[in-house]
Amino acid sequence: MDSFESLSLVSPWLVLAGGILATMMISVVRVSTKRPAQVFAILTLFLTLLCCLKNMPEGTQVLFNGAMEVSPLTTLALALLSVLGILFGFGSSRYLTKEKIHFSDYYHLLLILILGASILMCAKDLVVMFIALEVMSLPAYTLAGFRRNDARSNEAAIKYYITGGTLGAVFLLGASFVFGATGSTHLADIFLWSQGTTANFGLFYVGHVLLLIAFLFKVAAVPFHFWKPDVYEGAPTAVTGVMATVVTMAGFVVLARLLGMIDSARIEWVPYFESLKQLIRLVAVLSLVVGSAVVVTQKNLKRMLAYSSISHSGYLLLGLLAAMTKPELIYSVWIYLFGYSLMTCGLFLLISQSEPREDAGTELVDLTGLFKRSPFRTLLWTIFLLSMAGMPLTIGFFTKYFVFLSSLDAGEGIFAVVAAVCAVVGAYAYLRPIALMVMRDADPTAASFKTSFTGQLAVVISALGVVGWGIMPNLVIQILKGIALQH
Amino acid sequence: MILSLLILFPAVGFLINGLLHLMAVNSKRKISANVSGFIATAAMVASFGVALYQFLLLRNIPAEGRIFEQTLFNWISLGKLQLDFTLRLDSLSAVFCLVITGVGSLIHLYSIGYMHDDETPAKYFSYLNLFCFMMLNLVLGATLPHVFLGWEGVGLASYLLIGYWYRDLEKVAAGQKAFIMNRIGDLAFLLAMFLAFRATGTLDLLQLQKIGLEPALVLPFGLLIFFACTGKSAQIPLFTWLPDAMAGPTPVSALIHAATMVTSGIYLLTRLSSVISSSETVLMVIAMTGAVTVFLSALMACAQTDIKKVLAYSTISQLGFMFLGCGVGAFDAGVFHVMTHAFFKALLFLGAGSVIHALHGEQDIFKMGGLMKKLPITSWTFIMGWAAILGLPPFSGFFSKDEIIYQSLTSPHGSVSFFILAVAAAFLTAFYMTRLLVLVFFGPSRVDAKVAAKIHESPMLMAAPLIVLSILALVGGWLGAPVHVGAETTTESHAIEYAVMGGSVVMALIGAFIAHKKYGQTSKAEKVNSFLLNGMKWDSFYLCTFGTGTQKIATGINTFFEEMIVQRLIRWSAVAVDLSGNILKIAQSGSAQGYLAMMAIAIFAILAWVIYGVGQYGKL
Repeated sequence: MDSFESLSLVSPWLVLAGGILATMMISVVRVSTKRPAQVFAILTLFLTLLCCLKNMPEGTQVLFNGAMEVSPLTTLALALLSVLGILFGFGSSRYLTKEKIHFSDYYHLLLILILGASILMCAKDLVVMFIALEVMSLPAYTLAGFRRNDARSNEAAIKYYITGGTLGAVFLLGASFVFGATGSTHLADIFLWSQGTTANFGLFYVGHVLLLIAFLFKVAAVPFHFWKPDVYEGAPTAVTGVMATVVTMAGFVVLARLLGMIDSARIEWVPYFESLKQLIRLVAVLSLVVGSAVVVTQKNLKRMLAYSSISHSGYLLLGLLAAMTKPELIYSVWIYLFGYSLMTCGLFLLISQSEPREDAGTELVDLTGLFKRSPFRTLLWTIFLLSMAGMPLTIGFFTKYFVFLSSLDAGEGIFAVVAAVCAVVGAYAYLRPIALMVMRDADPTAASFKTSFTGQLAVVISALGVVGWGIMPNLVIQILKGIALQH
Repeated sequence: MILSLLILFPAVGFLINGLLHLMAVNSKRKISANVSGFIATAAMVASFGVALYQFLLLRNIPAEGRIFEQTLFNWISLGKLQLDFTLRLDSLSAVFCLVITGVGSLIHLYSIGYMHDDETPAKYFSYLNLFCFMMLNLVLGATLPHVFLGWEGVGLASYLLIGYWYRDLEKVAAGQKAFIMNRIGDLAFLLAMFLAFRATGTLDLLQLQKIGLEPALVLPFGLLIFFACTGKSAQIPLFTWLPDAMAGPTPVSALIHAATMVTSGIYLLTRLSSVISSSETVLMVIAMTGAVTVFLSALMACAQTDIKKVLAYSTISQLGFMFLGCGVGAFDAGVFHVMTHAFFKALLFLGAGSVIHALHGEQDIFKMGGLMKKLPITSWTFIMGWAAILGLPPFSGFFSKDEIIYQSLTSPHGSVSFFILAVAAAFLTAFYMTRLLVLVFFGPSRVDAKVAAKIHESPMLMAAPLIVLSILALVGGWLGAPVHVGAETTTESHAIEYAVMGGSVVMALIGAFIAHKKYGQTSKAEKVNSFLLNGMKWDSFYLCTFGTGTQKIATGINTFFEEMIVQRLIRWSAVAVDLSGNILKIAQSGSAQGYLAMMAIAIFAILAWVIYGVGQYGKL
């Protein structure tokens, strides 16, 4: 491939990196400005989006001597991340002002996070993967502690940092085991190694599992989920939304890549692969059960969504499990990730826009009687919550539906049943806030809140996405299915 | 094409009224019930026109090809899974469409009068239109996911409408109960759908009927579908939500909890009849559940004092008749009864609504009485409904109910015990309906003096639907069963048929007579005890049986299902969830060290398992 072509493939990253520098410079030039940083960041994301759509690669393209690879999926994922970034960029300005968060700091860290996530999704070398992981994680730690005067936010940042750092070390340990076993950190070389031999397989097994654990932690699968409720609750809400979508998405793309690290089609590796499946099965079921059971008992919206996202990780792992048997079933994971990101984004924007209290996030009771105060916002809440509960005509139904279907297709029927039961239990939790909003009278003392036009617009766009996609799922599915086959 | 208009009209009505309501809340103004009611009713009438037109077209086509299809768009296409968003009208769905839009139009019209003083009529009418839209999707959907969409949608609309008067916490709870019980049934539906897709590779109902399932799978599939139907159609054990659902406005009870939504279980069973009826066990379970439900809920209806609760238990009982019909293989008789029941039960509910309206919210039948003179239209139409539900010839209920009772005895799947339960239920039906009738409309008035002065007949908007429905309750059965599903059931001997016919009518008359004797002269607001004082000799026999006895048995059964099973199930699952939640909360200590320790343990456990596994392969 000539250098011009590879340049066009990396152009979204170049645009992002340029935008990061520009946004950073603004804070150097004028500390007090707000708008320019926001405008710059959103402009950068728009350009990134355009670059992604313009330079959609044909098939998988290897870059930097196999250290990275770009595929339609990763480019499309970056495009979606840009869209999410734009929505968060528009939607959270009033929240940032309220929380006295520095605009240019927030926006350039947001951009770095997206850049890190995108590189992580493209990494084909364990070293690059680690660097990208840290590029993604460090802004997340910092952002979690952005409400500097709030002890809970500080605590969340420290907790996230300590646990995240430790699991980063676990990743490195795993990478060195894998290197010891195979003699390479290139995933392509490791794949070749697996085709030739099963020597050192025990050493490789330990390393492989450690790598997986590091990313199971990132997506907060049980039993590596403990950090999530605390961090979700403490972090500024706009940041929580970013973490919930961007980090989860990158985490699952990498998990899929790590699971495909060896040639599972070879007969020698079949027992090995079967025992890996056991691990994923266990973690998936634990995540589903714990997430769905605890989500019912939560009173704080952000904690509720934390447990909800744990159960979502369970569904996604079931999708991965199905793809381990039949690789083409990976489409259910991509559909789930895209749909989940959209509804989570909208939901967190809504929370950040309706926080009445200065010191804490939104409690469920704060929603009481919202319908009387603001029927339109109640409608938006209802759309997202019903989508979370998996109601037909929203995207939430299809995401779950395809996971169930592919589990069945892969012969994991019993887990589809477990997941369906968990979906029913979880649905109750999402119904409660709707009942509170619609069927109770408002507390007359409740603070009313104002939202900016752009903020409202961002939520409306995600809601339209959730419903439109729910009614006509075919459009996106066609794209993603095409990609899943190429991937 | 025209078929899509059928679902389009209610959808448009829903959107317009929804927008009106949003605007009304924002501008803090009130939308008149006349305006939003007119929009919603016009949408339903237009939809009814389309349904009627399509139905007439359909009749002109020879029986084999009686299907209209319209594909709106490609819904999902994913490898094996090819789903179009297709509406399909055949004679079965045409009957349901006519009932939904026809009875629906009347109930919409009635609602304009009934909800006249309501604060948010636009919200009410938008929910009502939403319900009709979803219900039409349920019966017109060509694929299982499309039916499921309607299935979930009507549940949601029903939930919203039961909790419509949300200021009353009890009503909110009733709505939630209905929703959760329906979710349990929905789970079974989902599982059945997956099973069918896995076995046949198709979700299209027509293809599913053609391919069928392999014998081993019919049993689980049939039982799952049946379980889903018990939730929606309020059969034992998932029936207790329906009496609670009476918390909603009365026209809602008439439309959703009598005429349409609760019959969707029968629709689904009939739609899949060719698949499930190859399993004897499935049919037997359906018939048994129906027979037991029909009898027990009729018994329970005898002990109710709330006018709407009597009708609610009566609905459960009548649904039991339909299930019994399906279970003995007489699916067409079941659908026939869906149609006639929609007429007369909607009539009875609307009549009850008219009474409640006239008495300013009073629902206790022991505080009514003697309303015949003051509410002539309501009374006479109610009497027509009473005659229909009793199965007196030539009213519609006679034809359909008699067919089911007859089939429960003579069908190859029938048995004497089903027959006895059905006849006993027919007898009880006559008893509790006559009790209701005489307590409300005849005898001396027990109405509070303050209320009595203000009693007035309902406005014409409410009276007109009553009159139309009462005519339908009379003539609705004359044409015979509207659909024929599966093999023709041959009439073995007319002698048996006439005997059954005459027998059930006589039983009904005896029940009515006893109830009339017993309740005809009730003058005080006292209930059972006052009758025990009655010294007539031959009274003592039925007083033992139907007086205290019935009360006790009925309350006992109700308590058993409500408290022992449903409440416990809910309580236990709540405790289980709470407990596990609390245990997990302990792990969620809040200290980072604790989390790290926990994760370290997890990592070590996994690694130990990995190394053990490696040792097993002997290759470390």
